[in-house]
Amino acid sequence: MDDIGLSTGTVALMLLLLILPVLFFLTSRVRAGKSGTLRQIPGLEDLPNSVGRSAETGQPLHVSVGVGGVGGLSTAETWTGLTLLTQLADEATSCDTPLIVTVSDPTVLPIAQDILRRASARHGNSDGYDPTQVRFIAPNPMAYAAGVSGMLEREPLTGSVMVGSFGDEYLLMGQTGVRCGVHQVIGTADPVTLAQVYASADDTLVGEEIFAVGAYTRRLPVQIGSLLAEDWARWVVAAAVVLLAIWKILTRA
Amino acid sequence: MAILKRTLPAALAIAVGLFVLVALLLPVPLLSTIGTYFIDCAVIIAAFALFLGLLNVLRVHLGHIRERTKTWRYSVVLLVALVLVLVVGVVTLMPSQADQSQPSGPSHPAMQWIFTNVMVPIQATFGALLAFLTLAAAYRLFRLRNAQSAVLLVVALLVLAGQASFGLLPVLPQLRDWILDVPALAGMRGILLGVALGTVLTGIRLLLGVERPYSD
Repeated sequence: MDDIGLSTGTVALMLLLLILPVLFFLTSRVRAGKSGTLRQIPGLEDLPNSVGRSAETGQPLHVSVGVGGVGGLSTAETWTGLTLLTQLADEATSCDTPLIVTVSDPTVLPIAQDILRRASARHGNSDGYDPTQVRFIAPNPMAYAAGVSGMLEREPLTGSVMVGSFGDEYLLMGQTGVRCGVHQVIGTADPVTLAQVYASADDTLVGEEIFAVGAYTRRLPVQIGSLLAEDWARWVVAAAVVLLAIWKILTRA
Repeated sequence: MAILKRTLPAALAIAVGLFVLVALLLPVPLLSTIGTYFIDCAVIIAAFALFLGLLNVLRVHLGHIRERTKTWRYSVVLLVALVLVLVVGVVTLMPSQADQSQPSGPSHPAMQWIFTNVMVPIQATFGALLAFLTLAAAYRLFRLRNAQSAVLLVVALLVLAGQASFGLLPVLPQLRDWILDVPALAGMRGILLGVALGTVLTGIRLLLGVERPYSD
């Protein structure tokens, strides 16, 4: 950023001030029904089937929100996992399907427990909530992966939905899932881990697709508007990259 | 009651979130000090969550033992290890009255012995396993299923050949470098760009109170 004489904070503020009006404008358009068509993301469209398969077999569905926590660098990814958990908890409670949620960071534990508790309460089944459905495995990513791998191997599960922050340790869980024949829907933002995810998951949410979870599951106008704003911002940033590259070439010449 | 249960937590979270954001973006020392104070508070609250985690582990595994599930023996091992390390940690946390300069807690020799001889070897074992798992994943990935897999296989073979060409074909390392520096890096940056924008917009949605798994 120093190349163009702007600090990172200034650029972040400019980006924020640029995105906010666009977000409000696109949200109002979605509210008015003028736009709001979402492109197909197979991984997200298959999610209800994961709960359905679980309901048919009566076996639990495993949900993981990654090895990140709330308050660190991976908060946004973890939050996306929690948003997805809210949706899955609602669907699972409505068809009386058990979920097993595993967490690695202790900050996520009370939030995940609260999501399941509220889902049970919303469906008038407060007694059906079991706090041990959410399991704190270990704060160390490798120990967490080992714990989840053991669980995938030993417990009868129909599927595993893992959306959040994952690193190299993912491979341990992913390959165990493949070996045990567990249907896996995996989403993460780390490009290096994505290669491993692509090799082992049945359905993959690539990079930014995980941030679309809320828009696809709840379909609130502001969430759809936010997705459209993201597309718009991507074009602007891409154009800025190209223009800056041309400007650099010209000034160097 | 609805205000206490729903509106107040959301309003508090949004207000503090906005304040910390402004403190990060604007170079005002007072804002920065208060923002750092809020972050420190969050860190302290998060530390208590570890205690909740401990209680959760006890509850889940005591349940396994009580119900004699298939894995109850592993639960016994886990709980024994947990209590053992906890006791050693607490005992070593209290420095002897005779010599206050002796290391205590995690830096105590007993705790260091546990880390060096139990934790580190187990972690190294899992780390080594990843090499074989990568191979298995690569085999699965490179199976020819469609045009995408074919492209992936050809590019991977070219990079591998460039990595181990032994100087026989100088063009292969150059091709490998080009693949890694141009198309692979461009793709990776594209993903990171999308992730960065997604993160920003998720943050905005959180601050606007649209996405709040912490309340109905």
